[in-house]
Amino acid sequence: MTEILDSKEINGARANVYLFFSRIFREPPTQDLLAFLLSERGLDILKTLFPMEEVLRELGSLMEEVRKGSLTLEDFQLDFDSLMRVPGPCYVRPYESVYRHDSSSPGDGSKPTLMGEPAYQVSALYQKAGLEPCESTTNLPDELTVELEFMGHLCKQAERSLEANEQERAWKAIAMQREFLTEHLLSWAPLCLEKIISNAQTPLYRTFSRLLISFLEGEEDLFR
Amino acid sequence: MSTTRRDFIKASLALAAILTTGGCLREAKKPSNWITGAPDPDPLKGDRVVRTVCLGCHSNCGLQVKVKNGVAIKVDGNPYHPNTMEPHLPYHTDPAEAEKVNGTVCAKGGATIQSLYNPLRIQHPLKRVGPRGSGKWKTISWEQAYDEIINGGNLFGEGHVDGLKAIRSFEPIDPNAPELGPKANQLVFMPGRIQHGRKEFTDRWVAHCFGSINKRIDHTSICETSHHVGLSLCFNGRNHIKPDIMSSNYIIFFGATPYEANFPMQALARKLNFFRERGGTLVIVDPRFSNSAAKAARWIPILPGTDAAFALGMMRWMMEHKRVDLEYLSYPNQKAAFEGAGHLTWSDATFLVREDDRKYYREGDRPLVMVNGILTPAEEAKKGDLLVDTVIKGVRVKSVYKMLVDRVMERSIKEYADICGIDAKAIEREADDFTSHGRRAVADFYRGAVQHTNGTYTARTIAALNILIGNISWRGGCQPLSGNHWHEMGGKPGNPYDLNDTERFLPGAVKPKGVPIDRHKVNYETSTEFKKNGYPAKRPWFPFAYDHVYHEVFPSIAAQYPYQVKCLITYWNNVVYSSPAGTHMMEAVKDPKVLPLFIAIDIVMGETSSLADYILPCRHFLEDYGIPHVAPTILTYTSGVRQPVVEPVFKDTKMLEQIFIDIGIRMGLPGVGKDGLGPGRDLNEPWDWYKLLVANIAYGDKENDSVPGKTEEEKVAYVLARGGRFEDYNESYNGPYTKNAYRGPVSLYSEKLATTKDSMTGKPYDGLPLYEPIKDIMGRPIEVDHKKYPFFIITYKPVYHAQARTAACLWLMEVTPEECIQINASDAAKLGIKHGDLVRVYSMSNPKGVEGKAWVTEGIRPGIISIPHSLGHWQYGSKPFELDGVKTSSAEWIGRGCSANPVMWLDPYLKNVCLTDPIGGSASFYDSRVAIIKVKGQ
Repeated sequence: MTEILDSKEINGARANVYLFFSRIFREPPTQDLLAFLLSERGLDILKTLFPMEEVLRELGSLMEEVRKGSLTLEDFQLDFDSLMRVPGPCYVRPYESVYRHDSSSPGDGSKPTLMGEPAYQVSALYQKAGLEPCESTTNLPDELTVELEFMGHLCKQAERSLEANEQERAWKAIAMQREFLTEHLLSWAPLCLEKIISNAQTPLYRTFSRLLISFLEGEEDLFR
Repeated sequence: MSTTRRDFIKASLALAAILTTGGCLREAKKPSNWITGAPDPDPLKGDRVVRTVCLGCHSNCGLQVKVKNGVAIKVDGNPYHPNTMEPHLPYHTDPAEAEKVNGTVCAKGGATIQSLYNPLRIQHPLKRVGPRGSGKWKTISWEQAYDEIINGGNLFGEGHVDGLKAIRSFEPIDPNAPELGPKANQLVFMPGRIQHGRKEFTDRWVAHCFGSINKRIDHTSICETSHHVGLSLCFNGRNHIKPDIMSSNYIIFFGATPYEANFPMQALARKLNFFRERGGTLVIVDPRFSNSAAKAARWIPILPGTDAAFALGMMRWMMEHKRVDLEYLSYPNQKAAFEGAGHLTWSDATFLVREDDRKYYREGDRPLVMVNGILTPAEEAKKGDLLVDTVIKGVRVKSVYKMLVDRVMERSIKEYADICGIDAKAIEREADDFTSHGRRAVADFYRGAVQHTNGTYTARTIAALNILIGNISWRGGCQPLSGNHWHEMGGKPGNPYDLNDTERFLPGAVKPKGVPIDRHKVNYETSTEFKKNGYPAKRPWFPFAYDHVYHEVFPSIAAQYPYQVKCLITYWNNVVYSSPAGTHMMEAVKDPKVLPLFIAIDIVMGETSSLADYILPCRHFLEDYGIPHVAPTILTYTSGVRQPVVEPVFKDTKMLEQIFIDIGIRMGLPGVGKDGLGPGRDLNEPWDWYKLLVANIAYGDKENDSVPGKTEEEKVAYVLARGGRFEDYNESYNGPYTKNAYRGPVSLYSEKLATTKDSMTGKPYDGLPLYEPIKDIMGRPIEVDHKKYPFFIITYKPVYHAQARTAACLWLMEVTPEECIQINASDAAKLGIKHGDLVRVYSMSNPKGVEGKAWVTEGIRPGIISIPHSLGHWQYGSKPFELDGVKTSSAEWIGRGCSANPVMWLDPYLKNVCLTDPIGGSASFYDSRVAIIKVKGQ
């Protein structure tokens, strides 16, 4: 693991990025969010965080299309729903259990099922990290944005512990980050994001999927 | 392009500004786990779990019932039971661990709590205080009820009535017709739904303790009995087939809707989902667009009663396109079939049949086949000739297959299609597809295809499709066995109690003899009446209907034919509600001079029980015992055990067995009370009986087949804790076969059928697959003005209802649409009927008809009216009765809607019973024609 993980600032920054992506894929875009993402400032922030020329070029053209009115907020909202919510031809089933199903599981194994073993495993890890589901939560524990959010929480825990000079606690949080990333998030999220890239009807979710894949690759390097 | 650490931190801070909405996780000092308990979050926690078996329908699914403070609060599926999970839990799983897993349960099963706690249940023994059917009752004690039923007397102020003691005489009913048997036969036991464990108990009591031949005339003839009879004539007594769905590639269901009914419905539906996900082709042949048709690759809206014509059309295409497995058919014995191509079964296709007496051509008692033109005993030939038509010693003989080919070729595919009211291409397409999957294709059927006057022939014809492709007992093929069970009655090497051994287990047993009141399993030609009068009999006799002819009992009681019934005991019986034209039967039991004593054992004031003299309140199935079996849908050995889940809700009710034990002890009958089950084994309460049955299951059918446990008690407890005994899922197959496969002969030709004469027409039945148009009991076509009665009426069971009993569950009635009379939209438009209009359906047998709201839909073939079962009760708690001079409470919603049964046809010759299959004994549910008119718009 790199020394950079000792930095409370880096943990804080990583937390923000995880929570940002969790938000992007958890709910459909609002007018405010879209305005921010496709503003000059938003684009500058993304350029700084993810220096990927090709992707950023795509975001630039997207900004242009929105300005021209050929793509609207409703298009992005529909795209989000068909990718993340509605079991139709574009639906990517964003659950770890679906991507990591055991072919010897009940039935003939030809179709993965929800609430598989990974859901139970991540649920236990959340509890171990002192986290529980909010009352209003209807999501399953191994859904993409919940796992991203969990990483955000772990990074924040590390940040707080480092700030308070509680080295051991910080390392526990960092160790759990590593465990969770390698055992769970990295084992399936890139596959799901590739599916979003191929199923998305607008460039918005293709672009953010590419950015997230790139970020997760960076995270993998960080813990190598 | 790259970014610095500082810029990354700075930019990420800017991102935080947009993270305004909340996430899914929060910090907590004592965080709760995201997932608690079962995968399906279940907010109800009981203080104990009891595993039993459902009886919301006849599927017999295992239940896992949560009980809190002695109250059943939630019904789930028992995860050990194969009906409820795929795969079910391994049998060795710890019962406490199994509580964390819930199997599935259907709506009917979940709602059984409401029939258990139904406040309208009968709570004490009742005796009528007005004329029969007047609705006036008084509460009496069990002692009074027993005393009056046993000893008789002037019980109702209408004159003397013989009690059971007087009826139990072994003098002949009619010395001039000794075949009718002793006077004890004048006691008739007529249960509706009765299952294993219990039926053996009451058979034992009525037949061997009391001595009546009328031991159990149960409901099967209004269910699907011709299915059983037809199949048993194909598969040497095995009376039920099912596809091995999990390994099949193509299934065509005739007159069945496995996503709604049939059994076990939830296992069928679940397995069919896996089947369809694998790319399996599901075809539904049904005039109604059922839930199953909605899931099918193809829906074939055939005319009712023509399924055999469709199957014969398929056979013609198969024969013309060389799609018949001639090699399989050519094997005339077990050894040849197994050594030749690995078959576990063999057919009679090569057997020779004499034209003169319709029997197999035999040498001694050995059927013969031709091998390259030389007569050879079937049991010695490796292969026989299939297309034989010759004359031997002056007798014309044909091979069975040649006879079948000749039969099939009597009509063109177009002619068959015209009979079915469909395009010939539909027949050709299914014949092609059916024969494109090797042995992994199955033709199955249920009551929709066989509850017709031609039901047995249709059953044999559809079954023959399977025989022609040689799929019997193969993995993915047609299964006449599977669904097997450990033998609760004993008699196998491992079982400790052989309860059929009356010498040891029923000292003093009586051997019943004579003719049952419905004349089932008796050939008319053996009767004195035949010798005197010849054909036709006064009423039909049913030599093949071994499942009884339930709907014929009341008309026979009215006709006092072949003798008078002096005491009728019904149990959970609602024949007047559930039978076609059943309302016409009510008068049959109203005259005490004709039927002196009528005792109903029931849990509610059913339509039939309301006509009785006494009603003895019994237990709900969640308070009861039983050993129900499962259908061959399940491939593994399954012995569910039903056991009381809670203490009786109403304390003054009794288990059925207890009522018979009490009466038996008071009468001094053999087989009950002290040493009732043999020396040292008393029979004073139901558990005395059931503990022996469960012990047989626990020890198993083979030596060393026992469940764990040092003592019998421990073994029994092991079984009870799991709600039965269940073979593990991985035991489903044995190489290319199903593990519990049928290994026996299959018959395209039924010699027995072909050589037996119909009691009414005097003509022999047909031994081959056959399409026969609908006819009356005299074998005549039914004359009806099609212009006046342009519609066929049919019925079905919605997924949330069974026959009569589910109407008492409010949850189920709440999801039942108000509109219950389904009519095609084009028919409705022509008649000016709109969805929701009040309409009247009537027939020539019931000009007054029934009324209900119209359901206008494209999901039914034009020319068909469909009304589901379960609705239209006129008793069952839907209206009050007078008890001890006070009007009882009632729930009007129980009687909502209408039933199709009252408008179904009476047989034009007999005039007081519905149309009936003279072979299988099935009541016709789908052959009546009706008219429909609008009564009132919305």
